[in-house]
Amino acid sequence: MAGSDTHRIGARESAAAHDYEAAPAPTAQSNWTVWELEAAVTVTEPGLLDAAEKLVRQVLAAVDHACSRFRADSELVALQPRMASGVRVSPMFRLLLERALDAARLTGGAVDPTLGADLAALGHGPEMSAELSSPPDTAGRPGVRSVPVLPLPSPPDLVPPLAPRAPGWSRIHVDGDVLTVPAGLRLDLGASAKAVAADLAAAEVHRRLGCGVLVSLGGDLASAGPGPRGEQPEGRPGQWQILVQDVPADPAQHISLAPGFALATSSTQKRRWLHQGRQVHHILDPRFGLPAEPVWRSVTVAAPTCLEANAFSTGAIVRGFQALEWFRAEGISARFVDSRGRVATTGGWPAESYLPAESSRPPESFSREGLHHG
Amino acid sequence: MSTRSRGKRLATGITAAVGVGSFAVAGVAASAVYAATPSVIARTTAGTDSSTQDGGAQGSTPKSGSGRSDDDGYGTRQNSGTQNGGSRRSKSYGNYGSTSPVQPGKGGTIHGRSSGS
Repeated sequence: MAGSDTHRIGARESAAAHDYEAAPAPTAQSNWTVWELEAAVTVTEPGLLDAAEKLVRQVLAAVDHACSRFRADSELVALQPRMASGVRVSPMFRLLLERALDAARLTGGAVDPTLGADLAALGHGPEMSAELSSPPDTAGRPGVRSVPVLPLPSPPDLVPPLAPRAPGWSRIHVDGDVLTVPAGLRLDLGASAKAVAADLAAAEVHRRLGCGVLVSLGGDLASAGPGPRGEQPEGRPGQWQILVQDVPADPAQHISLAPGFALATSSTQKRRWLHQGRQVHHILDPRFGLPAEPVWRSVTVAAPTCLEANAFSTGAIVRGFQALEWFRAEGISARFVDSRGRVATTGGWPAESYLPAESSRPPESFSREGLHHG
Repeated sequence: MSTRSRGKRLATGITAAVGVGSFAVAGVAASAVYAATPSVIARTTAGTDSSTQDGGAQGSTPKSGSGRSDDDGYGTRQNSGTQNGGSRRSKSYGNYGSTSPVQPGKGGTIHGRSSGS
């Protein structure tokens, strides 16, 4: 697992760097690169920053060793060819797999960890860089999100078949530490594995060090322990201050995240590439194995765990417009940004209240239920 | 309410949205798929909604009871826990007692940024 360019900042420096008003909260943050994503850990006790970063790196290394597709010695690479006949998996691998199946259940199958072959058929894989149509800083690479797969014939067109196919996730069998995956299915634990890594890392830092912590992996955030001190009156526990914004041109919102909760954003604007002359993105509709219609630019969800937040945000991209009704019925706190930059909210997500000076406003407003300026 | 009726209502709401703006243009195609195979995951708790107005693109949304059947094409398997360790679905979403997961920002220090990756 690659990790580099650690950068440490305190709260005041962080505020200055982002041109925000400085605040007295005694936090410290360290940033580095992993899986070609930005990783960050913020702690409420600056003196514990080094120890916290070490713990986070250890968790990420363990996750990487279990399911990375970029290293020949990862468990996934070693076991994938034999999964049809049943393989014994490590506790970490089993955890990541079971959480991926949790994500599938939570979303009614809108998130499916068996789409590795479909992603490869669309050209999403280790060799996709030559086809990338987006700048490197926004296209990124799959990192933990994909697994190695054999090349498959590309679909003749990106038109969904008439009938949805049988869901792959419900055919995975786990019996103790023995995993069986039907032939023809290839695991891709990426989306959930990153979120689980954030959850595990935050929990481990708080458990071992006792401080409040916020872990960010490529924009997915998990927190544990108390929030930052010094920003709330009357001794109330502080909340993590988060800027929600997918790309610079999108509407931004500054929100407070309660300690112990998590936040995840799924986007159709990143990890895009050309396939057979068409722009495609990496979030697939499991029913067809094709990119979900990009009804939403991005969906951000708050939930008790990053796994849940990530599952719901990804599931919302897949379900498109219907996700609004789904989230309202479930009471899921979420923020949707549509294809024109307009914002819809569900489940108690607050109205826009603060916009950094450099952020852009959406082109127009909505007056209907749950839709407003970003 | 039957899934078919719910799907029709969803489609009606989206049609209304077209008259207001192009927000629903992309959604029509997506919703057509779901209208054909509509259903929602079985709810476990009552939800909350920040909305203050009605008549939006989705029409009036149900506040309780909707359930997702197994005909949604995603392979919903509500009771698959016996095989894979059980669902962790035990929490409500949007209503965490006295704790609201998200509130307006306070300004000042930004501790993190949520964006897609």
